[in-house]
Formats: sequence, C-alpha cells, structure tokens
Amino acid sequence: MNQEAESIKRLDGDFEPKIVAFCCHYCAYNAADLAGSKRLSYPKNVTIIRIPCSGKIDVIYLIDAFEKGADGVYVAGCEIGDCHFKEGNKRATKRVAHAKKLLNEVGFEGERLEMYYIPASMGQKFADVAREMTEKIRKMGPSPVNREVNE
Amino acid sequence: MDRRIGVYVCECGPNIADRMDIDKLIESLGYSGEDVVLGRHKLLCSPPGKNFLKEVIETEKLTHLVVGACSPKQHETTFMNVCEDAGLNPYLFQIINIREQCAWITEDRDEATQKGELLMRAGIERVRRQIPLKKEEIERNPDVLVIGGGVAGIEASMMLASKYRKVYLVEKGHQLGGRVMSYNMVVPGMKSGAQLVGGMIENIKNNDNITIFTDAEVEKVRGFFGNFVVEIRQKDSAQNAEPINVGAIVVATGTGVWDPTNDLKYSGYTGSGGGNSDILITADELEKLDLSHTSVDWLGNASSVGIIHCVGRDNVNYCSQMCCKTSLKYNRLVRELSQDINVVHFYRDICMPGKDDMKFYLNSRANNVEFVRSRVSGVKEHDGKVLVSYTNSGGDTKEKILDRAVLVTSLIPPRGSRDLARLLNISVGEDGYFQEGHVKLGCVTSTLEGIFMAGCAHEPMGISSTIEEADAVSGRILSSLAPGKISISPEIATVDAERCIACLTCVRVCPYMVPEIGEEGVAVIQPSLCKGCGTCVGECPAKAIQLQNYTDDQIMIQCGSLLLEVIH
Repeated sequence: MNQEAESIKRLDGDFEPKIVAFCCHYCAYNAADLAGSKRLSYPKNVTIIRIPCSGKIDVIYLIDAFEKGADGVYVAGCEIGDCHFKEGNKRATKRVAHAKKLLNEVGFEGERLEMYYIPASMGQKFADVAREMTEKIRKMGPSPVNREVNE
Repeated sequence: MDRRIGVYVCECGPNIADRMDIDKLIESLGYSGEDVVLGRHKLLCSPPGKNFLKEVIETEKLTHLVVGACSPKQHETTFMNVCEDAGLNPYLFQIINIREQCAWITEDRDEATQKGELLMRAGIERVRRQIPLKKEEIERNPDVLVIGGGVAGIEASMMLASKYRKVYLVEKGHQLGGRVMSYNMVVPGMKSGAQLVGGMIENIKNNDNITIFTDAEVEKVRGFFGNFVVEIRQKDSAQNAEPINVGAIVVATGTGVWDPTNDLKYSGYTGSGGGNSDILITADELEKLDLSHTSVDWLGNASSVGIIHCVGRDNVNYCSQMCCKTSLKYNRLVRELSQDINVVHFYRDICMPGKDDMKFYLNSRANNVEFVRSRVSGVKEHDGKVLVSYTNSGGDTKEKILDRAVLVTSLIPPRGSRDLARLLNISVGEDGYFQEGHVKLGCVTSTLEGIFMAGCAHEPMGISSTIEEADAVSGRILSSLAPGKISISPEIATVDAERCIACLTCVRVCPYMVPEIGEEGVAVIQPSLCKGCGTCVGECPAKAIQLQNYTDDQIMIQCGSLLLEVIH
C-alpha cells in the first residue's frame, strides 16, 4: 500500500518539500502540541524548532535554513496583541518581511518564507497552516538551492 | 572528561511504541561505536523511569542526555530535575518531542519512525553544542508598592505594614484619601468622606513602615514577582528618587467619571464652569460644593429637583453600581433641607442590593418623591429651568420642567489607565478597566503574577467592597510573597562586551526596558530582570548578544540537521 502510494506520488511528479517552522514556545508550539493531541494529521515534512518568542527569530536563521536546503520556512508566533512577551511577534513580522525582501533581491522566491500567528488553543489552525504552506511550496517546486543540487 | 551522550527513547506506554518502530529508530540513528549510548524505556516519567535515567547517568558516566518523549511542555522540567539529582547539569539535556509533534500526527508507522529519527538526530547534534549553565539565586523581596492613595491604597498599605512589610505608597495627587475625601456624605451613615477616612489618613502618616510619595507617579517598572525594580518621579523634583525594590505591586488607582459635556442628549449641560451650573450640575460637581451652605444656595428657592440616573450608561455599556446610591443620597439631602421640594428620579433600574442599601432606598420613598421609570432622551435648558424629555415605561414620550437637575454620571476607568497598564505589562479589558487574572477566581489579581488590583481600578464599586478587596489583596500578598530565595533561569540574554557597539538597539527593542548602557560604555543586561524572550538578540546588529541555551550556533545546528536527507 505504501509502496503504491509512493509510486503514485512519483508518477505525479510530486515532491515532498522540506519545511522548517520556527514556533514560539507560548503559542504556536503549544498549538502544534494540541494538533498532535487531537490526532490532526499534517504533513510530516514540517519540522518544528522551538524558540522562546517569535521575537527571537533572526534573519540569519531564515537565510541559513534556505542555504541548507529548506524549500519553505515559516515563523509562527502568538496573535498580534497577545504576545507573551508583549510585542515579539510584531518584531518578528518586520524581520520576516525584511528577510523576504533580501530573498527577492537575490532572485530567491520570497514567498517561500511566511509569518503566521497561531494562538495556543488552535491546534486546527496549526495543522491548516502546515498543510497550506506545504501545498504552496509543493506547487512552487524545489527551492533554487535544491534545484541546482539536483541538476 | 570524555563526552558521552545518553540517548533514550520513551515508549510512553503504547502512545509512542504503537505508532513508530522504536528499535528501528534507534538502529538507524547509527551512532554505534561513537560517543553515544542508546536505549529505550517503557515510561521514563514514571518513578521507575526516573530511577532508570538517574542510574544510567551515573553508571554510564553520561555528560549529556537526550530523551525522545512527549512535549517539553509536559516533562522537560521533570527530566531536568532528574539530571540535577544525578549530578548532571540540566542544561546539557534536550527533550525531543516525538509524541505530539511526530507519533500523533500520522497513522503511518514508517513515516513516524523516519521523522522521529530526524528529530532525535537534530536534538543530539544540538545537545553537543550546549554548555552547562548555572541557576542564580536571589533574595525574594517581601516589600510592596501601592499605586494610588485612595481608600483601597490606604487600606492595603495599612494591612501590609501591620505585618511589618515595607510599603511604598505613590499618590498622583497632592493629598491622600482619593475621591472619597470630596464626598459630603456617604451612604448609608451619611457621614462626610473626610470623617470616614480621616482617621485612616492620620494612621498611615504615622506608620514608620509606610513611605508616602505624593504628587508622584510611577515611571518605570522592571522585574517580576518577588523582584520588581520601580522608579518613581515626583513632580517637584528634577531628579527621580533612587529606584526602589519591591516584591509585589498593588494597583489601586480608583475611578474617573463620565463627562456628559459633548453628548447632545445632555445639551443643557455645558460643562463645568459653563455658566449654567446654577440649575444643571453633575453629581461629581455637586460633591465638590460645600453642601452645608452651598447646596442651600444651589437649590435657591427651587420647588422641584430632577435626579437623572444612568447618565452615560449607554456609552460605557455597563452599570456603574454606585450611581443609584448617589442618586438616593441627593434625594435624602434635599428632603432634609425641605419637605416641600418635589424630587423626581428618572431611572431605568434601581440597583440597591444588600441589606443596608435596600433599606436606604425604601426609606427614601416618601411623599413628594417621584420615581419615573424612563429613558431620558434629552436634558435642555428652557427659560432658566431644566427641560427633561423622556419615554416612560408605557412607551409615551413626555416632558417635564424642573427648577434644578443633577446628572448622576457613570464611573469610568481613571485617566492614564492604559499608560499604566503598558508600564506594568498588565492587560486592560475592552471597557478600559484593568483586566482580572480570572473573572471569578482571581478577581484581585491582574494578568501578571505579582501585580494585584483593589477597588475601582478594575471595576466600579462602593467603599465597602473596595475595603474588602484591599484586604483580600493584602492576604494574597502576605501568603504568597514570603521572604526567601528565588532561582533565576539562566536562559537569559548575555552581552559580549567586546562586540557591543553601544548602538542602543537592545535598549530600544526590549519589551521590559532591561538593557542599559553601563559605565563601561557597552550594553548591560541585568540577569535578574531579563525575561529571556530573545528580542534583543534577534535585533542586535553587532551580534553581541546571545540568549543562553538558545544560541545562534545551537539553533542553526538543529535546523541544519533537520534539513539533512535521511537515506536508508
């Protein structure tokens, strides 16, 4: 059954994008736990790195993740106005926007990077975001870094 | 000592074991022969599980520990405590979430096993970069800052000081006593406000444990429960006083009153000092007159007085609880002066619950006192008199001309509440009042541990409820803020003085105003005040700041490992 599914994927020319999600400890990470507790399935390719606050995110981490082969990266914090550390998520939003601009400037699709706000209680939203991001990146194809490696 | 990393996978009963192939996971990690010891256990958080971990740490002489188990939200602390018990620095430990974020998100065993392996590998690579960190301990400060010198603030200060706590009382105005001081009489005893609280003010001034700052405001608050640093600015001094240290803060900022000046419904009222205060006045203005003489003057030879309840209620969208009492108080006052004056109440509901207040209301009903259940639609001036338009309970529109009228206005949050909330890092509700920690179970706690509220600062209420709250707050503080030690998490931002260019970025971005440029000309972050959010770290252009246990190196290694292809 599994093999069959695998071969169908290959026939479709689908690829499984590698996605890194930087999640804040107080909201998004909790939502991810909740998604698991409710047994909501979402693409396994989304791997989570816990940071204390989305405001901890550094432009370098984002660029570095793409350099190391991520096809998509997103940062997930608390809802605006509801940040555990007051306004870390606002800072994160600005930094993600800045990193997007840098990516675009070097011809690296900036849409591969996103900022999301996921309240601690919304497991469903976490799963939806993971799926949405995966679908989007799947449509975009492998990141330019991975394309070069493959060719 | 040689590095030896213990890597253990918890089966979590069937929770993880049934959903992935743990043996395969361990085997495919492929660390055999290296500095890694691998194993599995049925339930690591159980007492036998914890003993097992403790034993392997000791017998295998582990220098690092990685546990693949549930979410760190569940058992990170549990296992960190085990490390500590076994003599291993708890910051040389990683818990890998292979349950909530791996085993439980897919039905496919192979998928889960593969992802589990990836997560574990990233954790092992991360733990290699971790360094031992030490928890600092500081003394918990048992003293208290009280903001607001009204009834609530005075009562709380006195209660706390009676248990030998040092109290700093900060009052914005020139005198203590708050709004109650301006009351000519207080229901139901009808004593003056000054008589009621005068004794309290005398006592507080003579209490050696209480330091009073009048004409003063809180300017900066940093730290947390047990360890706040507060800066106070006094109006008449150019320099701030030395920062004070307290363990808890009581917000007792009292109430404001709704201003009908710009509301067209009350077009007859032109604002205080508007020239018509001789016929139409707000309750607050009436309180400020010396009623023993002036009220007689104010009433003049009036033969009718209107008392308009619920002024502003539709604007604030809540019942202020106090206005019915105030309305009936004026009723009583007028009746005491003359039985012949006709008093007309325009009311919507009478809110006088409780054993004493209800009696007060019933006793106020008398000849020549009308209670008109109505919705007032306009209060205008008309030939030197007041014209009240209203719809009665039958739905008819009516008008009434009165010689005098009082607008009994709603209570609103005191001015500056939002600014103070920002300063204290507590939340404000939609209505502008400070928000309770829990609407029922934590009604005198704010949304931040260690900051408490009493009185009208968080909800309009009467004097007796205010006293109750002040006492409740004192009880909470005395029982929870005991002298002793607090340990400070080492997961805080640290500055590399060599790299710091004193650009002030951290000073600007810190949500808690912690970083300062110190005497050395570089940023200084006081460990006992940093909350470890990492905002300054993410923004520092010189990369001079690192968040301990979340360093760039550690995060980027983890990220890089997660992106490696797993090939079997």
